[in-house]
Amino acid sequence: MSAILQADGLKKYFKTGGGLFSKPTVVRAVDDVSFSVEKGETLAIVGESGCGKSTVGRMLMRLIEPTAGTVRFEGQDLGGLGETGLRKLRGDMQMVFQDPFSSLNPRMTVADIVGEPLWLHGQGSTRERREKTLELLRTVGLRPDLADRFPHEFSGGQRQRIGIARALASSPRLVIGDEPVSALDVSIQAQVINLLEDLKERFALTLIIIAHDLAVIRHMSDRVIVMYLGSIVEVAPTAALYAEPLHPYTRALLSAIPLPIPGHRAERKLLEGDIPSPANPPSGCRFHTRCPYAQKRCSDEIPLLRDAGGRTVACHFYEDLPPETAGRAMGPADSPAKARRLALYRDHRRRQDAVVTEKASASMTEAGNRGR
Amino acid sequence: MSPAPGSPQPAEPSHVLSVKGLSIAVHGRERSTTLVEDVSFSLAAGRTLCLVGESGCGKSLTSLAIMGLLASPPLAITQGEILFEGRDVRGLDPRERADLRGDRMTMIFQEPMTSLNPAFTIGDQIAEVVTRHRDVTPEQASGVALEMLKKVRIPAPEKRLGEFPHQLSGGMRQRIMIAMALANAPRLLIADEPTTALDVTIQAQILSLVRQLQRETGSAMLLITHDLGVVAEVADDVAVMYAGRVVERAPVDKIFDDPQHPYTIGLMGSLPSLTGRDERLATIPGSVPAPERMPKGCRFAPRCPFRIEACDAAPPPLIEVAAGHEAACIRAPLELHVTEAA
Ligand SMILES: Nc1ncnc2c1ncn2[C@@H]1O[C@H](COP(=O)(O)OP(=O)(O)OP(=O)(O)O)[C@@H](O)[C@H]1O
Ligand SMILES: Nc1ncnc2c1ncn2[C@@H]1O[C@H](COP(=O)(O)OP(=O)(O)OP(=O)(O)O)[C@@H](O)[C@H]1O
Ligand code: SF4
Ligand code: SF4
Ligand SMILES: [Mg+2]
Ligand SMILES: [Mg+2]
Repeated sequence: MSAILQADGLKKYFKTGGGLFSKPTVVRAVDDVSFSVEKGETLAIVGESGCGKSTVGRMLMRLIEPTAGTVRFEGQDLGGLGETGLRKLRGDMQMVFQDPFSSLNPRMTVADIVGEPLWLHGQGSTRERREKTLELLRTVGLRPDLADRFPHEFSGGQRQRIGIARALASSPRLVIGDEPVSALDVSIQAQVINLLEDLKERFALTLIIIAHDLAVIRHMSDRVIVMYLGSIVEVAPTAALYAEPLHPYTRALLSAIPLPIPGHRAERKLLEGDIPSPANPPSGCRFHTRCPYAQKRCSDEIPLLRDAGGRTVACHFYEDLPPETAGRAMGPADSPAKARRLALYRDHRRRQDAVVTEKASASMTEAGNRGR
Repeated sequence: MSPAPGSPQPAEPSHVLSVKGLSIAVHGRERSTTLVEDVSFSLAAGRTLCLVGESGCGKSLTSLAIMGLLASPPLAITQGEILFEGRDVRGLDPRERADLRGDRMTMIFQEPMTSLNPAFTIGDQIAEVVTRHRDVTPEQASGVALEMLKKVRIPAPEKRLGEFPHQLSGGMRQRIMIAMALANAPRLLIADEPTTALDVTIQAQILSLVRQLQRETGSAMLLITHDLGVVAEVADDVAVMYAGRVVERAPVDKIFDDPQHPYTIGLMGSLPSLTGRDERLATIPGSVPAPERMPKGCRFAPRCPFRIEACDAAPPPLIEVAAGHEAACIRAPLELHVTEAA
């Protein structure tokens, strides 16, 4: 495997407020973040609100300039790119956003939204672009005959499909999804997750998924970056992270998730306190104000990411922490009744899809015949 | 407190809340559209009932109707009863209704900022809730406010009393809302997605706090959520809603271990699991029909993998499939009815 993308020492400081008589506050949204993305993997970035996930994503895309640090895509430093270079980059790297409602231009038809990147990159004739657009709609599971409607005529899940079709238009090699399924209902979320996985396979994409839902991440990703207050606290292969979280913050995150298993209600140790403001982050380890294991050294000295055997962790004392009582992320197996019904459900879902495909191809042939 | 004339006698006096056949419609100029239809459930003291379902299924409307806060017009209750402590609250005049609210029946919303007044201090707002319903001096009310802040574990409570809502984090504001909702030890607490806007570590704090305080006060709680994890964490009983109707109702372990309605089963299959990157997610195809285009029969039929012709005839009623476990599906339990259809 080789790295498709490399981020080194990324920082983004936002200056806010400040007037004639007051000093502006500096929000350290992202503070010295480095990582690489392997070709073909799904890398997740997880952390609570305000920890800097979106800001990292936007710096990778060069939608905003880093305060410091570099991003290299396929070996090329994005910092040196001019107009044309950037435009080409936006073809190779695409982003899907969280909010399917505000990220689509309400005055453009679906065909125009999806086809715009093709037009921007000057691909093909008008006719060819239209063809490709309809094909993209089919790819994401939308009926091509809806191409000339407007976004408000679609449901949330459909709008997210439109956003994904648009992202695919320029045949990108890397797709960054910033909370691509967070705004969706569970049943719709599952459709979009499956779609993203299919597309990744089909187009050999590399995916970066920014999310706060740890179950979604577990399901989709190969590797996980955990962020807290602008810094990376842990990087690990997904299975290893969930089986044995090393950083105290990762442990706290995992134990805070309410599991959909009623038997698992035992009182657990919860994190105390609020997330501090990134305008005024704690000294030393940024987690020390909430960490149950904090010691004197933690407030004095910033812990660097250290190798922990195939993974990295930024904690002075991770080796000495009491072992994580495993089991929470494991959970018991489904009850026999539930397993039986789920199997029945999946089985009938497959038949249902088969019937739908049959009908669709029948009506397609019909339309084709009529066209002739 | 005798029942209003004409209203039925309380059937189960032990129930704090009994909703029976509740329907809610929106009256437009051209036509009326039913948004919530024939919803029934009841809730005993100290118990927690979770209303769970996806966006737009009618969870909030149901809770607003119970609170007497439906924006009517255009919304109106078209059918059914809401018995609170045995009495149909629809018969109460607005004054009596307002007396109940904030006192014996309280509510927490998803976004605390919409229910906190930015112009008043935290202390004044909690104290106000107390003085409105109790015969207490301002000093006593402030005392209650301070005690409530301690109860919801706000750090430095004396200092916070004098602060304004915008000075607090989202999690703190939600704690203030809880303090206000519980200040008068209500019989019924309705919480509409109280943690949805919060981060997972803060959500865990709030849920554990609400549970503990509920144990102390013995209040009944109606918790509205779309998160099955939250349901498993706090519910005693569950009502699953789909497209304005209750499709399944059972004690919490039955919902998770013995799901009966195809929609509930589909939801379970759609949940990515924390236990491993296993098989592909099962999905529910399509999306919820718009309220004005609801099918005549089973509302889940257009998406249901088990649909047969009979499903389209009439809305299937909730039928008991096991003791205390009801499902609104003519083919439940599935393994009895679908095998021959293969
Ligand atoms: N344009 C901006 N100006 C000032 N501050 C900003 C700006 N953009 C982001 N921030 C701040 O930077 C920090 C990180 O924000 P970011 O949006 O990257 O967080 P996030 O991890 O994506 O959070 P969420 O889960 O809420 O989306 C936050 O404190 C945010 O308020
Ligand atoms: N004032 C109104 N006028 C017309 N329709 C309304 C009104 N209020 C709600 N509705 C509709 O009633 C249905 C139920 O709404 P409700 O707010 O109860 O859903 P919900 O289950 O709480 O959803 P969510 O999870 O998104 O909060 C929705 O289809 C909604 O669009
Ligand atoms: S460095 Fe100290 S404060 Fe930070 S996570 Fe490790 S033990 Fe906790
Ligand atoms: S009644 Fe029919 S359509 Fe409705 S859930 Fe049951 S099987 Fe499906
Ligand atoms: Mg973000
Ligand atoms: Mg709601």
